[in-house]
Amino acid sequence: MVCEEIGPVDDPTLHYIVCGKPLLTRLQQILTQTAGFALLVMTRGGRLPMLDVPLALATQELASTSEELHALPVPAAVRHHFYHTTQAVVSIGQAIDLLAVCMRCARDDPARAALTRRLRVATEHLRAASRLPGFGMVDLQQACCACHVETPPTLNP
Amino acid sequence: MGDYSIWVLEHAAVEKFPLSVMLYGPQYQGIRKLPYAYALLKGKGHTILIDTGYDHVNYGKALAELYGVTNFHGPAQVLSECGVAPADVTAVFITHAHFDHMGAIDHFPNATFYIQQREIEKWVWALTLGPEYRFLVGAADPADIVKAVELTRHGRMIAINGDREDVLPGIDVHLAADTHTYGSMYVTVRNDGARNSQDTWIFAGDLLYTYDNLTGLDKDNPQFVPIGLAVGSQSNLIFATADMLEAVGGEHRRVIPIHEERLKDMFPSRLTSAGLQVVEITLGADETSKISG
Repeated sequence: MVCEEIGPVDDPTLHYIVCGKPLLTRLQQILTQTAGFALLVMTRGGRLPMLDVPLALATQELASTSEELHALPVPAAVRHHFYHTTQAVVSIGQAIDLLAVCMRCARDDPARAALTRRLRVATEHLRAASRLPGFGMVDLQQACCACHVETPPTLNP
Repeated sequence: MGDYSIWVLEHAAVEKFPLSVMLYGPQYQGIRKLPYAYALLKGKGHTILIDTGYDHVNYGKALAELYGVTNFHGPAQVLSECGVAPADVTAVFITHAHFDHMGAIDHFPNATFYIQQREIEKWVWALTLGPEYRFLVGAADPADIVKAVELTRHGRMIAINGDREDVLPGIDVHLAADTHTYGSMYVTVRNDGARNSQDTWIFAGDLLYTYDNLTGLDKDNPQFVPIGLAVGSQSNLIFATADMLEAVGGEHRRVIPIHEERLKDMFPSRLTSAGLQVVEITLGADETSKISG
Protein backbone atom coordinates (compact mmCIF):
# COMPACT_ATOMS: atom_id res chain seq x y z
CA MET A 1 0.00 0.00 0.00
CA VAL A 2 1.45 3.37 -1.03
CA CYS A 3 1.10 6.10 1.58
CA GLU A 4 1.55 9.66 0.43
CA GLU A 5 2.24 12.57 2.73
CA ILE A 6 -0.58 15.08 2.91
CA GLY A 7 -0.25 18.61 1.57
CA PRO A 8 -0.83 21.93 3.36
CA VAL A 9 -3.00 21.40 6.45
CA ASP A 10 -6.31 23.10 7.22
CA ASP A 11 -7.69 23.64 10.73
CA PRO A 12 -9.59 20.36 11.12
CA THR A 13 -6.53 18.47 9.91
CA LEU A 14 -4.31 20.40 12.27
CA HIS A 15 -6.70 19.57 15.11
CA TYR A 16 -6.46 15.89 14.22
CA ILE A 17 -2.66 16.07 14.16
CA VAL A 18 -2.41 17.87 17.50
CA CYS A 19 -4.84 15.50 19.23
CA GLY A 20 -3.72 12.39 17.41
CA LYS A 21 0.01 12.68 17.97
CA PRO A 22 -0.02 11.74 21.67
CA LEU A 23 -2.34 8.84 20.86
CA LEU A 24 0.03 7.52 18.24
CA THR A 25 2.92 7.89 20.68
CA ARG A 26 0.96 5.86 23.22
CA LEU A 27 0.27 3.18 20.63
CA GLN A 28 3.96 3.00 19.81
CA GLN A 29 4.73 2.60 23.50
CA ILE A 30 2.12 -0.15 23.89
CA LEU A 31 3.46 -1.93 20.81
CA THR A 32 7.03 -1.66 22.06
CA GLN A 33 5.95 -3.07 25.41
CA THR A 34 3.97 -5.88 23.81
CA ALA A 35 6.90 -6.76 21.55
CA GLY A 36 9.18 -6.69 24.59
CA PHE A 37 6.83 -9.04 26.46
CA ALA A 38 6.79 -11.32 23.43
CA LEU A 39 10.57 -11.36 23.34
CA LEU A 40 10.64 -12.32 27.00
CA VAL A 41 8.10 -15.10 26.46
CA MET A 42 10.04 -16.44 23.48
CA THR A 43 13.43 -16.38 25.19
CA ARG A 44 12.31 -17.75 28.55
CA GLY A 45 9.27 -19.80 27.63
CA GLY A 46 6.52 -20.89 29.96
CA ARG A 47 4.27 -18.92 32.23
CA LEU A 48 5.66 -15.57 33.39
CA PRO A 49 3.64 -14.24 36.36
CA MET A 50 5.74 -11.07 36.28
CA LEU A 51 3.89 -10.11 33.09
CA ASP A 52 0.36 -10.40 34.52
CA VAL A 53 0.09 -6.83 35.75
CA PRO A 54 1.99 -5.18 32.84
CA LEU A 55 -0.18 -7.08 30.34
CA ALA A 56 -3.38 -6.04 32.09
CA LEU A 57 -2.18 -2.43 32.11
CA ALA A 58 -1.26 -2.60 28.43
CA THR A 59 -4.74 -3.94 27.62
CA GLN A 60 -6.31 -1.12 29.61
CA GLU A 61 -4.12 1.50 27.97
CA LEU A 62 -4.91 0.15 24.51
CA ALA A 63 -8.63 0.31 25.21
CA SER A 64 -8.53 3.92 26.41
CA THR A 65 -6.28 4.98 23.52
CA SER A 66 -8.64 3.34 21.06
CA GLU A 67 -11.61 5.11 22.62
CA GLU A 68 -9.92 8.52 22.37
CA LEU A 69 -8.84 7.81 18.82
CA HIS A 70 -12.36 6.96 17.69
CA ALA A 71 -13.69 10.12 19.36
CA LEU A 72 -11.54 12.30 17.09
CA PRO A 73 -13.15 14.05 14.12
CA VAL A 74 -11.40 12.65 11.05
CA PRO A 75 -11.15 15.03 8.07
CA ALA A 76 -10.80 13.54 4.62
CA ALA A 77 -7.11 14.41 4.37
CA VAL A 78 -6.18 12.13 7.25
CA ARG A 79 -8.56 9.23 6.67
CA HIS A 80 -5.68 7.18 5.42
CA HIS A 81 -3.71 7.93 8.59
CA PHE A 82 -6.72 7.09 10.74
CA TYR A 83 -7.10 3.79 8.91
CA HIS A 84 -3.51 2.74 9.66
CA THR A 85 -3.79 3.87 13.27
CA THR A 86 -7.01 1.97 13.94
CA GLN A 87 -5.64 -1.12 12.20
CA ALA A 88 -2.61 -0.90 14.48
CA VAL A 89 -4.94 -0.87 17.48
CA VAL A 90 -6.62 -4.05 16.22
CA SER A 91 -3.32 -5.83 15.59
CA ILE A 92 -1.84 -4.86 18.94
CA GLY A 93 -4.99 -6.12 20.68
CA GLN A 94 -4.71 -9.44 18.86
CA ALA A 95 -1.03 -9.66 19.78
CA ILE A 96 -1.81 -9.11 23.46
CA ASP A 97 -4.44 -11.88 23.33
CA LEU A 98 -1.96 -14.20 21.63
CA LEU A 99 0.68 -13.46 24.27
CA ALA A 100 -1.53 -15.06 26.89
CA VAL A 101 -1.85 -18.13 24.67
CA CYS A 102 1.89 -18.29 23.98
CA MET A 103 2.70 -18.37 27.69
CA ARG A 104 0.89 -21.71 27.88
CA CYS A 105 1.88 -23.25 24.56
CA ALA A 106 4.82 -25.24 23.24
CA ARG A 107 7.70 -23.56 21.44
CA ASP A 108 6.49 -24.86 18.06
CA ASP A 109 2.85 -23.90 18.55
CA PRO A 110 1.35 -21.92 15.62
CA ALA A 111 0.25 -19.26 18.12
CA ARG A 112 3.85 -18.06 18.27
CA ALA A 113 3.95 -17.52 14.52
CA ALA A 114 0.59 -15.76 14.69
CA LEU A 115 1.86 -13.50 17.47
CA THR A 116 4.90 -12.54 15.44
CA ARG A 117 2.74 -11.79 12.41
CA ARG A 118 0.40 -9.55 14.43
CA LEU A 119 3.36 -7.63 15.83
CA ARG A 120 4.81 -7.10 12.40
CA VAL A 121 1.47 -5.96 10.96
CA ALA A 122 1.03 -3.51 13.83
CA THR A 123 4.54 -2.19 13.23
CA GLU A 124 3.85 -1.67 9.55
CA HIS A 125 0.62 0.20 10.25
CA LEU A 126 2.31 2.45 12.81
CA ARG A 127 5.20 3.13 10.47
CA ALA A 128 2.72 4.12 7.76
CA ALA A 129 0.89 6.34 10.26
CA SER A 130 4.13 8.04 11.27
CA ARG A 131 4.39 9.60 7.81
CA LEU A 132 1.99 12.37 8.79
CA PRO A 133 3.79 15.66 9.62
CA GLY A 134 4.59 15.89 13.30
CA PHE A 135 4.50 12.15 13.89
CA GLY A 136 7.51 9.90 14.42
CA MET A 137 8.18 6.25 15.05
CA VAL A 138 11.09 6.46 17.44
CA ASP A 139 11.86 8.87 20.26
CA LEU A 140 15.34 9.61 18.99
CA GLN A 141 15.74 12.26 21.67
CA GLN A 142 16.68 9.38 23.95
CA ALA A 143 19.42 8.18 21.60
CA CYS A 144 23.13 8.40 22.35
CA CYS A 145 23.67 10.41 19.22
CA ALA A 146 21.10 12.99 20.33
CA CYS A 147 23.04 14.15 23.38
CA HIS A 148 24.56 17.09 21.55
CA VAL A 149 21.32 18.63 20.31
CA GLU A 150 20.35 21.63 22.44
CA THR A 151 16.65 21.87 21.59
CA PRO A 152 14.87 18.59 21.01
CA PRO A 153 13.33 18.92 17.58
CA THR A 154 10.08 17.45 16.31
CA LEU A 155 10.79 14.13 14.70
CA ASN A 156 9.32 12.58 11.64
CA PRO A 157 11.64 9.91 10.29
CA MET B 1 49.18 -15.35 13.35
CA GLY B 2 45.91 -15.58 15.25
CA ASP B 3 42.83 -17.66 14.63
CA TYR B 4 40.73 -14.69 13.56
CA SER B 5 41.28 -11.76 11.24
CA ILE B 6 39.65 -8.68 12.69
CA TRP B 7 38.59 -5.38 11.14
CA VAL B 8 36.68 -2.39 12.44
CA LEU B 9 34.42 -0.97 9.75
CA GLU B 10 33.00 2.52 9.88
CA HIS B 11 29.50 2.86 8.40
CA ALA B 12 28.49 6.39 9.40
CA ALA B 13 29.64 9.17 11.74
CA VAL B 14 28.68 12.16 13.81
CA GLU B 15 31.29 14.74 12.83
CA LYS B 16 30.75 16.99 15.85
CA PHE B 17 30.09 15.07 19.03
CA PRO B 18 30.62 16.62 22.48
CA LEU B 19 33.61 15.32 24.37
CA SER B 20 31.58 15.50 27.59
CA VAL B 21 29.42 12.58 26.45
CA MET B 22 32.35 10.48 25.33
CA LEU B 23 34.11 11.14 28.60
CA TYR B 24 32.33 12.06 31.82
CA GLY B 25 33.31 15.51 33.04
CA PRO B 26 34.99 17.78 30.50
CA GLN B 27 32.16 20.25 29.87
CA TYR B 28 32.74 22.93 27.23
CA GLN B 29 35.99 21.31 26.17
CA GLY B 30 35.21 20.73 22.57
CA ILE B 31 33.99 18.16 20.14
CA ARG B 32 35.26 15.07 18.40
CA LYS B 33 34.22 12.92 15.50
CA LEU B 34 32.17 9.92 16.65
CA PRO B 35 32.39 7.17 14.04
CA TYR B 36 29.63 4.55 13.94
CA ALA B 37 31.26 1.20 13.36
CA TYR B 38 31.07 -2.53 13.88
CA ALA B 39 33.72 -5.22 14.04
CA LEU B 40 34.13 -8.03 11.52
CA LEU B 41 35.90 -11.26 12.46
CA LYS B 42 36.80 -14.08 10.06
CA GLY B 43 38.26 -17.40 11.08
CA LYS B 44 37.60 -20.92 12.37
CA GLY B 45 34.94 -21.29 9.67
CA HIS B 46 32.95 -18.35 11.00
CA THR B 47 32.21 -14.85 9.76
CA ILE B 48 31.21 -12.80 12.76
CA LEU B 49 30.00 -9.29 13.44
CA ILE B 50 30.06 -7.45 16.73
CA ASP B 51 26.94 -5.24 16.41
CA THR B 52 25.16 -4.40 13.18
CA GLY B 53 24.77 -0.64 12.93
CA TYR B 54 21.39 0.97 12.35
CA ASP B 55 18.69 0.70 9.73
CA HIS B 56 19.05 3.73 7.51
CA VAL B 57 15.77 3.12 5.72
CA ASN B 58 13.83 3.99 8.84
CA TYR B 59 16.04 6.49 10.64
CA GLY B 60 18.53 7.83 8.16
CA LYS B 61 16.74 10.99 7.20
CA ALA B 62 15.96 12.03 10.76
CA LEU B 63 19.41 11.18 12.01
CA ALA B 64 21.08 13.05 9.21
CA GLU B 65 18.91 16.15 9.45
CA LEU B 66 18.49 16.44 13.19
CA TYR B 67 21.54 14.87 14.76
CA GLY B 68 24.26 15.24 12.19
CA VAL B 69 24.77 11.52 11.52
CA THR B 70 26.34 11.51 8.09
CA ASN B 71 27.77 9.28 5.41
CA PHE B 72 25.72 6.17 6.18
CA HIS B 73 26.43 3.12 4.05
CA GLY B 74 24.67 -0.21 4.38
CA PRO B 75 26.25 -3.51 5.36
CA ALA B 76 26.46 -4.81 1.79
CA GLN B 77 28.74 -1.98 0.73
CA VAL B 78 30.69 -1.74 3.98
CA LEU B 79 31.40 -5.47 4.26
CA SER B 80 32.37 -5.71 0.60
CA GLU B 81 35.54 -3.77 1.48
CA CYS B 82 36.65 -7.01 3.15
CA GLY B 83 35.21 -9.34 0.53
CA VAL B 84 32.24 -10.31 2.69
CA ALA B 85 28.51 -10.22 1.89
CA PRO B 86 25.78 -9.91 4.56
CA ALA B 87 24.63 -13.44 3.73
CA ASP B 88 28.11 -14.74 4.64
CA VAL B 89 27.75 -13.61 8.25
CA THR B 90 27.19 -16.61 10.52
CA ALA B 91 27.07 -14.96 13.94
CA VAL B 92 26.43 -11.53 15.43
CA PHE B 93 27.14 -10.45 19.00
CA ILE B 94 24.82 -7.62 20.10
CA THR B 95 26.71 -5.69 22.76
CA HIS B 96 23.54 -3.85 23.79
CA ALA B 97 20.04 -3.20 22.51
CA HIS B 98 20.30 0.36 21.28
CA PHE B 99 18.90 0.94 17.82
CA ASP B 100 22.29 1.97 16.41
CA HIS B 101 23.82 -1.35 17.49
CA MET B 102 21.04 -3.78 16.55
CA GLY B 103 18.88 -1.86 14.08
CA ALA B 104 20.14 -3.79 11.05
CA ILE B 105 19.61 -7.32 12.37
CA ASP B 106 17.35 -8.27 9.48
CA HIS B 107 20.15 -7.69 6.96
CA PHE B 108 21.92 -10.94 7.91
CA PRO B 109 19.73 -13.83 6.80
CA ASN B 110 22.08 -16.62 7.87
CA ALA B 111 23.34 -15.30 11.18
CA THR B 112 22.67 -16.42 14.73
CA PHE B 113 22.50 -13.51 17.16
CA TYR B 114 23.73 -13.42 20.76
CA ILE B 115 22.50 -10.94 23.37
CA GLN B 116 22.37 -10.88 27.15
CA GLN B 117 19.10 -12.11 28.71
CA ARG B 118 19.41 -9.31 31.26
CA GLU B 119 19.43 -6.73 28.48
CA ILE B 120 16.03 -8.00 27.39
CA GLU B 121 14.50 -8.50 30.83
CA LYS B 122 15.52 -5.21 32.40
CA TRP B 123 14.61 -3.31 29.27
CA VAL B 124 11.14 -4.86 29.30
CA TRP B 125 10.88 -3.91 32.97
CA ALA B 126 11.86 -0.31 32.15
CA LEU B 127 9.15 -0.22 29.49
CA THR B 128 6.51 -0.87 32.14
CA LEU B 129 7.50 2.14 34.25
CA GLY B 130 5.73 4.78 32.18
CA PRO B 131 6.70 7.55 29.78
CA GLU B 132 8.35 9.74 32.42
CA TYR B 133 11.00 7.00 32.76
CA ARG B 134 11.78 6.88 29.05
CA PHE B 135 15.43 7.78 29.59
CA LEU B 136 15.82 4.27 30.98
CA VAL B 137 14.41 2.74 27.80
CA GLY B 138 16.58 4.59 25.31
CA ALA B 139 15.65 5.12 21.70
CA ALA B 140 13.70 1.94 21.11
CA ASP B 141 12.08 1.12 17.82
CA PRO B 142 9.28 -1.44 18.17
CA ALA B 143 10.28 -2.71 14.72
CA ASP B 144 13.68 -3.79 16.11
CA ILE B 145 12.01 -5.67 18.93
CA VAL B 146 9.62 -7.36 16.52
CA LYS B 147 12.59 -8.43 14.40
CA ALA B 148 14.17 -9.86 17.54
CA VAL B 149 10.96 -11.74 18.36
CA GLU B 150 10.97 -13.28 14.89
CA LEU B 151 14.62 -14.29 15.17
CA THR B 152 14.01 -15.82 18.58
CA ARG B 153 11.04 -17.78 17.31
CA HIS B 154 13.25 -19.26 14.62
CA GLY B 155 15.97 -20.09 17.13
CA ARG B 156 18.31 -17.50 15.65
CA MET B 157 18.55 -15.21 18.66
CA ILE B 158 20.22 -16.73 21.69
CA ALA B 159 19.83 -15.02 25.05
CA ILE B 160 22.88 -15.59 27.25
CA ASN B 161 22.82 -15.41 31.04
CA GLY B 162 25.97 -13.65 32.23
CA ASP B 163 29.50 -14.64 31.27
CA ARG B 164 30.05 -17.53 28.88
CA GLU B 165 33.27 -18.96 27.48
CA ASP B 166 33.65 -20.28 23.95
CA VAL B 167 30.33 -19.13 22.60
CA LEU B 168 32.28 -19.63 19.43
CA PRO B 169 35.80 -21.07 19.44
CA GLY B 170 38.03 -18.72 21.43
CA ILE B 171 35.30 -16.11 21.82
CA ASP B 172 33.85 -15.33 25.25
CA VAL B 173 31.16 -12.87 26.31
CA HIS B 174 31.00 -11.00 29.60
CA LEU B 175 28.07 -9.27 31.22
CA ALA B 176 28.71 -5.71 32.38
CA ALA B 177 25.48 -5.27 34.30
CA ASP B 178 23.95 -1.86 34.97
CA THR B 179 26.50 0.14 33.03
CA HIS B 180 25.76 1.92 29.73
CA THR B 181 22.68 -0.30 29.62
CA TYR B 182 21.30 -2.91 32.01
CA GLY B 183 22.74 -5.87 30.15
CA SER B 184 25.65 -4.54 28.13
CA MET B 185 28.22 -7.16 27.25
CA TYR B 186 31.75 -7.05 26.01
CA VAL B 187 33.30 -9.65 23.74
CA THR B 188 36.71 -11.24 24.30
CA VAL B 189 38.59 -12.84 21.43
CA ARG B 190 41.37 -15.20 22.59
CA ASN B 191 43.08 -15.21 19.26
CA ASP B 192 45.53 -17.98 20.08
CA GLY B 193 42.69 -20.15 21.41
CA ALA B 194 44.51 -20.61 24.72
CA ARG B 195 42.65 -20.38 28.01
CA ASN B 196 45.36 -18.06 29.36
CA SER B 197 45.67 -16.25 26.10
CA GLN B 198 48.62 -14.06 25.24
CA ASP B 199 46.75 -12.66 22.23
CA THR B 200 43.47 -11.27 23.56
CA TRP B 201 41.33 -8.57 21.98
CA ILE B 202 38.31 -7.06 23.68
CA PHE B 203 35.39 -5.34 21.99
CA ALA B 204 33.89 -2.96 24.50
CA GLY B 205 30.60 -1.99 22.84
CA ASP B 206 29.61 1.33 24.37
CA LEU B 207 31.30 0.64 27.71
CA LEU B 208 34.03 2.83 26.26
CA TYR B 209 33.72 5.53 23.63
CA THR B 210 37.42 6.41 23.48
CA TYR B 211 40.82 5.29 24.72
CA ASP B 212 40.66 8.31 27.02
CA ASN B 213 38.12 6.37 29.11
CA LEU B 214 41.05 4.11 30.04
CA THR B 215 43.45 6.89 31.01
CA GLY B 216 41.64 10.20 31.41
CA LEU B 217 42.95 13.29 29.64
CA ASP B 218 45.94 13.78 31.92
CA LYS B 219 48.36 11.13 30.70
CA ASP B 220 50.80 11.94 33.51
CA ASN B 221 48.18 11.08 36.10
CA PRO B 222 46.05 8.37 34.49
CA GLN B 223 42.68 7.27 35.80
CA PHE B 224 39.60 5.45 34.55
CA VAL B 225 37.01 7.98 33.40
CA PRO B 226 33.60 6.55 32.46
CA ILE B 227 31.55 7.55 29.46
CA GLY B 228 28.97 10.25 30.07
CA LEU B 229 25.88 8.17 29.41
CA ALA B 230 24.71 5.36 31.67
CA VAL B 231 21.40 3.94 32.88
CA GLY B 232 23.41 1.98 35.43
CA SER B 233 26.22 3.54 37.40
CA GLN B 234 29.54 5.21 36.74
CA SER B 235 31.04 2.87 39.35
CA ASN B 236 29.99 -0.18 37.37
CA LEU B 237 31.42 1.34 34.20
CA ILE B 238 34.73 1.94 35.92
CA PHE B 239 34.95 -1.60 37.29
CA ALA B 240 34.01 -3.07 33.92
CA THR B 241 36.78 -0.96 32.38
CA ALA B 242 39.25 -2.29 34.93
CA ASP B 243 38.17 -5.89 34.21
CA MET B 244 38.63 -5.42 30.48
CA LEU B 245 42.05 -3.87 30.88
CA GLU B 246 43.17 -6.61 33.25
CA ALA B 247 42.08 -9.26 30.74
CA VAL B 248 44.48 -7.87 28.14
CA GLY B 249 47.39 -7.53 30.56
CA GLY B 250 47.06 -3.76 30.73
CA GLU B 251 47.76 -3.25 27.03
CA HIS B 252 45.36 -0.43 26.23
CA ARG B 253 45.31 -0.85 22.46
CA ARG B 254 43.82 -4.34 22.86
CA VAL B 255 40.57 -2.97 24.31
CA ILE B 256 38.76 -1.68 21.26
CA PRO B 257 36.36 1.26 21.68
CA ILE B 258 34.35 0.96 18.51
CA HIS B 259 33.52 4.71 18.41
CA GLU B 260 37.20 5.79 18.71
CA GLU B 261 38.27 7.84 15.70
CA ARG B 262 41.96 7.31 16.52
CA LEU B 263 41.75 3.56 15.81
CA LYS B 264 42.75 4.51 12.27
CA ASP B 265 46.05 5.90 13.59
CA MET B 266 46.80 3.03 15.97
CA PHE B 267 46.27 0.22 13.47
CA PRO B 268 46.77 -0.12 9.71
CA SER B 269 43.85 1.57 8.00
CA ARG B 270 42.59 3.04 4.76
CA LEU B 271 39.84 5.40 3.67
CA THR B 272 37.41 3.87 1.19
CA SER B 273 36.07 5.70 -1.84
CA ALA B 274 32.93 6.30 0.23
CA GLY B 275 34.95 8.13 2.88
CA LEU B 276 34.72 5.36 5.48
CA GLN B 277 37.62 4.00 7.50
CA VAL B 278 38.60 0.33 7.31
CA VAL B 279 40.83 -0.50 10.29
CA GLU B 280 42.74 -3.77 10.28
CA ILE B 281 43.21 -4.89 13.87
CA THR B 282 44.94 -8.18 13.10
CA LEU B 283 45.28 -10.70 10.30
CA GLY B 284 44.81 -14.45 10.74
CA ALA B 285 46.53 -17.22 8.84
CA ASP B 286 45.77 -17.41 5.11
CA GLU B 287 44.19 -13.97 5.12
CA THR B 288 45.28 -11.12 2.90
CA SER B 289 45.35 -7.55 4.04
CA LYS B 290 42.34 -5.43 3.15
CA ILE B 291 44.36 -2.30 3.70
CA SER B 292 47.20 -2.66 1.26
CA GLY B 293 47.17 -3.75 -2.35
